[in-house]
Amino acid sequence: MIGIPPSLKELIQNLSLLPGIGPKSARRIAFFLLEKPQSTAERLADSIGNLKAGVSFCQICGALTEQDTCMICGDISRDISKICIVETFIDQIILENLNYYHGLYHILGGTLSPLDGRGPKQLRIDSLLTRIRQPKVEEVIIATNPTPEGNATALFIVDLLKNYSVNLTRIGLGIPVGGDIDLLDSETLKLALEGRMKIEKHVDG
Amino acid sequence: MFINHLAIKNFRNYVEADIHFVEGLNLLIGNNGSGKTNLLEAIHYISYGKPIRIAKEADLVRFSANDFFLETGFNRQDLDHQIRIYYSPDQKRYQYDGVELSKKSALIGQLVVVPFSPEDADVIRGGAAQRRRAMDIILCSSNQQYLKNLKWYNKTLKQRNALLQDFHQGYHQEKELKQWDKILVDYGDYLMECRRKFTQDIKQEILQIVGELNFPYKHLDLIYDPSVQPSLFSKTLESNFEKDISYGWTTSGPHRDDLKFILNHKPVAKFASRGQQRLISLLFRLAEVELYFKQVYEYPVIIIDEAFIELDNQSVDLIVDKLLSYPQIILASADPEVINHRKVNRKFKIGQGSVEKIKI
Repeated sequence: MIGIPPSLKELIQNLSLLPGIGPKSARRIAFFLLEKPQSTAERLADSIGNLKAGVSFCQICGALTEQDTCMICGDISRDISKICIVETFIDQIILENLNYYHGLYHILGGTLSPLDGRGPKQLRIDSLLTRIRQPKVEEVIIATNPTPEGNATALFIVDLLKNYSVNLTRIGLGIPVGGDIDLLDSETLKLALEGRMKIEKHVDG
Repeated sequence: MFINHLAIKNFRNYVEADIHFVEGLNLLIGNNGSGKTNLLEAIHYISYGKPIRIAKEADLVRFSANDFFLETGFNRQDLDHQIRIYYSPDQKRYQYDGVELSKKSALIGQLVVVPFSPEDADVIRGGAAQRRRAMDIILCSSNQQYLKNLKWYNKTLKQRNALLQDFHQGYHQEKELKQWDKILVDYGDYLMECRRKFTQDIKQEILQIVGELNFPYKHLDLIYDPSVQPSLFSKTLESNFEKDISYGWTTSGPHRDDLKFILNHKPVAKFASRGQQRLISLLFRLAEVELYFKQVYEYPVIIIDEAFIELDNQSVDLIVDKLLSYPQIILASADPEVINHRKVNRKFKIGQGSVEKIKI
């Protein structure tokens, strides 16, 4: 990057620290901002600057919020008998956008991963146990990813909760909607068979 | 399967070359360093998406050039196909039958070649890791599920080892370890089952070839030697608990498996002569070719780079006769007389980045 002024160079370097942004994209963003009016850059800088100060974690479920508790935990119309365990806040948003599930969430903050120094203590497991001791919780849905790490985390939670009187479920793994059986790998197909569902028969008369 | 034609630009020591192969035996003759191996590298790269010996893709580009280009026309199941690859540090393009592909992995396995190279004997002579690797390469190329399980097994193993290295006997940690164990056993059991079956199949092929060619290797045996008894993996992890923690890594499991070659009741790695080891490594490759045929009813293209060193003339003749039963062989050698000229279908003289068809 010869010939680029130092301040611009610094911006490009900082931008390329972001996930999914390489040096080329960073350069494009930097030049884009340079062409725009001063106010555009200032608004962006302000929102980045206020981010950490304004946003914190929900004390109950660990979601990102600007209050002490998040909108979902504070919503009295939600079904408090169900808690869905997800790895990250992004997973919660994706599930929430379905507008299908009306229970509560618990965000672990990742998976078990000794390689990254993440054990049970680094995840929101203690607060999960506190929540489950409440008598109104009937079902815990585990929605971690079907990766080695997500599976280990799911198994760990199952083991931890086995003495609690809650129903444990894991979201179904198997055939994607619109998928073809002959295009699936055998592992996925095996899981789909394992997780088969009973069909309600309609009895006439 | 056979290759009709190969065109290369700025690849290794070639500025430009255009070669028309024929079915049967194609011989590439040239001195050391003339570029015979580089032609085979090009074919291997098109087939496997990576070179045989050179570690980095960037090193495939000709010195002082910026990019390379490869094109090949080949016949598979009686249909003609074409692959084009363009590589520069900024841009990589892959085309199959004129259609642009987004990923190199989509090309892998379209043109199937089995390489015979001088390093093959290392599988027999070297450590268990090399034999595991040889087994894994063949299994991964024919079984997507194996590839996935292997990848996840290795990942889980790394996680488990990281946990062992930082183990403080906490209640939570012991529980956590148990969960990693369950997952490791799940993936590991699958790997062991595939390897057991593979050993059976490849052994059968090797014995078949030995019988067919009348090799005096009646007492050749292949034994899958798993580090743990397949049904006892879970128990073994449990009983190795203290040991694994004190070592800081997982001391048993499929990552410690071996495939044993036995000749006359003795391990080939220690007791066979170099010539015998070389010959057995060739038999292993030939068996791989036959296994592939059993799966798709078509033979792959055979590429050979000086693989007959250390062998006596009689063995070479027998192996060559077997090779000649395949649809196409591309053989590189420094010795013009490596094969009786009556058996050669086309001959090329390779010299410092040039290829010239010569009369037989």
